[in-house]
Amino acid sequence: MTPRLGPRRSRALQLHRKLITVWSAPPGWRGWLVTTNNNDIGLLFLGVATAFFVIGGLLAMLIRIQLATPRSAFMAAETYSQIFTMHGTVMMFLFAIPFFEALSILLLPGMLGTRDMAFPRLGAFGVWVYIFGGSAVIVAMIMGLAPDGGWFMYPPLSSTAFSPGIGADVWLLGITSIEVSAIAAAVEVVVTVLRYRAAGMSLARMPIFAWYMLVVALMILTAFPPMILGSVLLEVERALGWPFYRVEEGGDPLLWQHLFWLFGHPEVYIIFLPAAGMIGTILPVMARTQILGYGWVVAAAISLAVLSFGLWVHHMFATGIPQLGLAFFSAASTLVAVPTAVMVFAWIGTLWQGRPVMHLPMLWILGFFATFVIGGLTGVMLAIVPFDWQVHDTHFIVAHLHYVLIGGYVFPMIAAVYYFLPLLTGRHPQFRLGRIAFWVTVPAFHLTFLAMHWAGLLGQRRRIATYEAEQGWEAINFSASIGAFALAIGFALVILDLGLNAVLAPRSRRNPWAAGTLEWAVPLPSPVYGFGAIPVIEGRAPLDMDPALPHRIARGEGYLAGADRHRRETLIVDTATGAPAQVAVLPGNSILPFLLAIVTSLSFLAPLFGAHLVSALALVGVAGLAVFWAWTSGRKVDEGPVDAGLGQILPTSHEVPDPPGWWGSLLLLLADGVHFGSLLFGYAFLWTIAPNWPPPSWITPGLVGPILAGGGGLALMFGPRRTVRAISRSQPPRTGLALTGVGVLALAAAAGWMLRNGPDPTSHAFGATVWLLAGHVLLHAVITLIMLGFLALRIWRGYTSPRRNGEARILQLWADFTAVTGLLALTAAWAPGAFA
Amino acid sequence: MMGALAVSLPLLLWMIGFSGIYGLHGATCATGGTPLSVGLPAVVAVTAALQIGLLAWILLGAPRQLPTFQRRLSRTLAFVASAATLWTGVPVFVLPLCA
Ligand code: HEM
Repeated sequence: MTPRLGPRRSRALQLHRKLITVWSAPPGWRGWLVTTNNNDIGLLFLGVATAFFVIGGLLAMLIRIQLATPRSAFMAAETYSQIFTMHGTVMMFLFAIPFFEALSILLLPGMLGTRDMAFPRLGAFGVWVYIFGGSAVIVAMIMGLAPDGGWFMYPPLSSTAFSPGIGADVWLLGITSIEVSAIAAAVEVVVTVLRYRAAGMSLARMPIFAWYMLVVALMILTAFPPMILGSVLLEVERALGWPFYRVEEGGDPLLWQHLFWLFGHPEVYIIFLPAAGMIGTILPVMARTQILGYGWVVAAAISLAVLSFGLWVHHMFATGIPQLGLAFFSAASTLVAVPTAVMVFAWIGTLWQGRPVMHLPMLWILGFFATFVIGGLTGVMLAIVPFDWQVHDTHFIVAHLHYVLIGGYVFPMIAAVYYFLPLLTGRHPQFRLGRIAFWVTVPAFHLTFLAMHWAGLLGQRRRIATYEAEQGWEAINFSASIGAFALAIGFALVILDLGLNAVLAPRSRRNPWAAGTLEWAVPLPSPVYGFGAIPVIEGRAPLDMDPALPHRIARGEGYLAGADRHRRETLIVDTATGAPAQVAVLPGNSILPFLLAIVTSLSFLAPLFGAHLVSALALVGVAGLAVFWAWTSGRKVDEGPVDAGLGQILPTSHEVPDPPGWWGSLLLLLADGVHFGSLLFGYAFLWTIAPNWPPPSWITPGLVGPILAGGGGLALMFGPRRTVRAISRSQPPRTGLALTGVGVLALAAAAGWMLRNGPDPTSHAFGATVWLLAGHVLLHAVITLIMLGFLALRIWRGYTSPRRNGEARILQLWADFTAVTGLLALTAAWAPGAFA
Repeated sequence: MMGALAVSLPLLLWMIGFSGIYGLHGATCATGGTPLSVGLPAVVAVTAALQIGLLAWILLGAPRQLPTFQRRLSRTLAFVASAATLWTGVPVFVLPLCA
């Protein structure tokens, strides 16, 4: 006999059934290829990142075997170089960054009270690009084609002269493709946090992790582009011989260091802040209290993010910058200690005011505290310039870096995985093996890296495969190696324990930790759609205020209950107040992200094997698929405002002037703008700092070029505005479209004109820069042209109306960017010639 | 909009000032000191003045009307940015320019 359900239970069940049909991916492996849901994508992402962590760890073991004994014959010096380069690269780019991105894709929607990320297909695309790019790097390593220039690839060591073969290219292209995926995830995170939240979740009520991820995502958007530029320059130098880093021809290897560390130092905080966000989330729950000084912590996170950009040159203390320059960066280095301290005090205060319970996540957080304090201390030691000179490039630095990375990042992430395990598996972890794993890992970690600090102080240099027996470092190195193996066993136990818990642990009840935030308001394991209805909240810890909230959500009390319109919908809110503003219509399952990722990766990886034609074809494929992708969203008729529940009538995201795609474009252009800014910086840097400038000749602008550029830029700014206006008034948009087309062609012609009698890009860095600037203009002209053609087609096929003018506004955004940066680029190229 | 500006402007100004000063310093020393050498302290002073102006606007101007959380956040960040501007600017006045 089936049990009789009360009317409330059955209402919840009905909603659940409806939502599941709309939100699920097909079963089996096909489902994994087409799914776009954040639960699936996040899990896939997390699994792959963990696999790369294991690979990086195995490489670390090889390193420690080699260093365990003096004059070790375990591997040759060249192999050693490949192994440590790959260890650093895999850990930093294939594990650390993707791992927290995975966690945020998995968890943010729940924390924010929404059903999915803002751009589900973009998220899926990012994951696939990462999987393909990362695997390619690993395969190359197994084939013996790995790079060996260290994870930061300084030229000239990484230039063709000293790194022939394709090892360095594998690094540059593989890593760049992964950075592309990181930028995709960052765009998604920012838009989600700013706009996709529960009703009433104002900025002041946002979960602390959302603040941290907002800050981190903005940092990714601004820190990765310089790095991508650096890689592009290096790859172009290697492939085409344009001398950006070759001193004899006006280049300068220091430019790489600047571009790399412009990324590299914020990178340290990009890795640390998500961990801090996790601590801020877990600690108060484990201490059974609220986080202390929420506002201060938010302010500290924002300050830390910005101030950390001032630190890039501190990695170059040893490169001979004038004393005053060093003073700037010593000042900036000491400055970032302040917000870090604010966070630490907030955590300690939280512990103090609470009644902590020693569940396993808490234990790992204490492990973090112990380790991080020591890591922070050695960091302050390094901020003192003379000390930095002393230990530069020794194992002291390596040990410091691991204190920060393992203590400050890996430990909190393990805490996070344990903490959120019930959400993923629906089971409540049992911790016996987990505790053993903890007590193996943490002491082993300290043994390993304290020994390495010591070896460094005694003068053992990093990245050197052997040392002599007379140097008296045997005992230290041997201890470090023993510690490292114990550490590896500890991590393996953690992974084993997590696996066992995922399949064997008893079913968990809802909200097992008695947390206050929304991600725990769902049934366990979290269903694909997340919430039965989008809740209305009135505080930072809604579950504390209303323990019955989960049941009310399941019964459909809130916005957009169920899926009456048979499509994936969630709420878009006003950024500041959290008042409901639009109904987002999200795309369903799609194979497009997977396909697009294949062609994108192909376009990156084919040049490695000299298959430039394949790469070019793949690029055409990228453009084609991207257009198709965009084509599949949107509507041909006005739907009008829809019923969002609770008596609210709201427009859908197809029928607003600022659809999510507009926000996404804005953020993408932010990254693009930083990329362009870095290019201008590089140009200015070479001009003023590099020897062998000025070049043999500048280029003279003449009259034709500037006139074309000026006219084109104006038309490009004016045309799209006219188009938007015409669409909004139901008038024919022909003039606007034509004006845009003429504008973009004129701008492109100006760039072409400049190259017509431009300098040879291979003979001097100036010529190479001019070509790159022109390349920027032409690339953006092509993108704008494609978008223009797309829009014209959409208008023709009836996809626009006064309500549905968002796509035209997106074109306007891109056209503005093309015009402004295009004019700047051409001016920068012409200016010296005009004044000379 | 006002909220976004009040929260982001102060630290952005610090960043622009800091990069500008760093760039100018590089250029100054690369070109042999003059004529930009007077420029550097001046730029620091102007940045500091702008920063203090911004702080005053946030304390006394329209951002006062923001919701409590954004108001406090923007004030804190404005103080942080002012302190950072002064702290990273001081070396310009006490150290030799290109030694
Ligand atoms: C499993 C424990 C680990 C051990 C035993 C270990 C060991 C080592 C050692 C001995 C080196 C120095 C090689 C040399 O310079 O000669 C090294 C380098 C490095 N490690 Fe680890 N590591 C571990 C985990 C990690 C993790 C989790 C990360 C990052 C999240 C990481 C990031 C790096 C980086 C960036 C380098 C510098 C590589 C270079 O010089 O290019 N390591 N590691």
